Amino acid sequence: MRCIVVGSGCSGLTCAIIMAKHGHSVTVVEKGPCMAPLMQGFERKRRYFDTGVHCLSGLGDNGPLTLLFEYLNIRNRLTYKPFAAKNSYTLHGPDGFVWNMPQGLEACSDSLAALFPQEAEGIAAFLKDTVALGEQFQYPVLNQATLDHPQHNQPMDAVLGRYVSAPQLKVCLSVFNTLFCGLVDAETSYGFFAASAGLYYQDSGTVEGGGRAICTGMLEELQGLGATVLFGNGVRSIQTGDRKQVTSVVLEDGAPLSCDCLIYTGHPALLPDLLPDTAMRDVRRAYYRELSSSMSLLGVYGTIDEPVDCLSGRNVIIAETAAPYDAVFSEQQGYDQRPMMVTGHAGHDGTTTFSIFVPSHFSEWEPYAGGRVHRRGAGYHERKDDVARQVMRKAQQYIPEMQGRATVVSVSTPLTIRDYCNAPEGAAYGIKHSLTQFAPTPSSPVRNMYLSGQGIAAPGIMGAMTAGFITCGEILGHDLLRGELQACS
Amino acid sequence: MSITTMTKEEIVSITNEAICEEFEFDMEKMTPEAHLYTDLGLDSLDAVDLVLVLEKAFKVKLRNQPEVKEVRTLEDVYDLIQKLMQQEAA
Repeated sequence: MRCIVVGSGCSGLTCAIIMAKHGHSVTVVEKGPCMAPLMQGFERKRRYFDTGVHCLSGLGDNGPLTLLFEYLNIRNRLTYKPFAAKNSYTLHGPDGFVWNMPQGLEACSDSLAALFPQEAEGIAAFLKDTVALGEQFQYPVLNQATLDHPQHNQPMDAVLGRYVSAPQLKVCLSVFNTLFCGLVDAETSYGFFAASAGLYYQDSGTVEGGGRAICTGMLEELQGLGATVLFGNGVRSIQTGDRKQVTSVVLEDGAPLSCDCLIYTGHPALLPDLLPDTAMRDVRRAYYRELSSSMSLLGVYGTIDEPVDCLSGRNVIIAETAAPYDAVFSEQQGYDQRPMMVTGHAGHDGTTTFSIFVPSHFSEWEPYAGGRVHRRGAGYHERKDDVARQVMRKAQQYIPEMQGRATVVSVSTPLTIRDYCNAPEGAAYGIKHSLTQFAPTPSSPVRNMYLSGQGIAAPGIMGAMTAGFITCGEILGHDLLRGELQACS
Repeated sequence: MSITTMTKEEIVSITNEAICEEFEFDMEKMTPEAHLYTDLGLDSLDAVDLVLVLEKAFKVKLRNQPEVKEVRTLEDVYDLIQKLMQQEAA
């Protein structure tokens, strides 16, 4: 079967490897100027900065992500670096509250129980139940009983409220929902939280070389399997025959490319414009177009010319405003009032690179969009510098080691994400997996066209890879794929 | 017109019109006992579209209703909408 994969992000490369492994002839088509622009990160001043990969979970010996890496044959090309055992994350909450989150479920539970002794039982139960549910929600073992779990479709905040009550504690137990799903607690289903953020309470870390190393590993594997990867040449249109089947695509340079199967990993909102009007009904077209997206991010990247202990295998989360999360994320809040996450990397030469991420709204940056891609309107750079200063002031307040030593080398905005990742409104986590909207399925009204990407399963490396397995499972058979995965463990 | 003030006849007529328009069915096919899958030929993807069509026609959220999964015939659709209507009125 000739299979075209549209998009070379983490999902696209995952789909491509799975299909090529099964003997299909695969071509990956990427619109951007390089492969996997989000996962690959970027280089400035001879330093590498990760953009799509910061904190990974499930990479322990029998972890769910390890299993996917193993299947994709990239595990032996990557080196896992767990975060610091005693303080992987330092969370600064309101009124001087500080929690150092360790590795390991029990240690994590104990560290919170030490801060909230009266809630020790609820903390232990919540973490245990969440991690257990999260493990059942992984692709290789997912079954109907898990999907029918009574708390699966309940709002995260309601479930959490049944276990614990202190507001500070709730922030500690749900902070990864915001950080890694791009959602507020009232709109997240507990099952989704458990599957995508819950496992971080058990273990987390990153891989040597970050997203670029993962991307390189996947690319090497694909080349070994004889797949073709085209970049700097997107899909201009998808042609369907009279039986609602994809027959070919036309690339931006005008070249036609025939196929028997198409996997589209882009944002679903962009799909209807690629297809002829007859390919699907109006209601389906409107559905894809109107899916609401997750929030966007502002990123501040920089260097420090010496080692910084709290940014070496550790991360700092600043969430000092006690206001309800919805208010904290609103565009009325200044950047120094919003929650933020600071991650760092120790370089071999004794220097440190850091990245700071802050929730941001596309609407705040839309006025600077300008007329052309990568060409911003007047005042954009001034606004960016001003916001970066606010963010740095706040970060330095909590990380004194940065004071007077940190140099900002780059700032990304929702416009950057929109243009580099072809993500409408700069959505950083794909479409929103909220309780109030149907997530799209891999199957589409066009018989041999399937969707994949962050929108299908969940955000992040694990979510995007899982989406690749779900989509290919639809094509090749879930039992076959699950059997092969289980044989890897 | 709010959903809470509709009669069963109005619900039937709005449902049938919305479905016929979107799925290009003839109105004669729209009998209460018509089975969505065996008589009208909908598949699982069409079922999602059906929910989207009804949500738009009645301005209600159907996707979170567990009963949606149990719907088999047009009569089931009418009943579900009517039940939602009564819940809202209560």
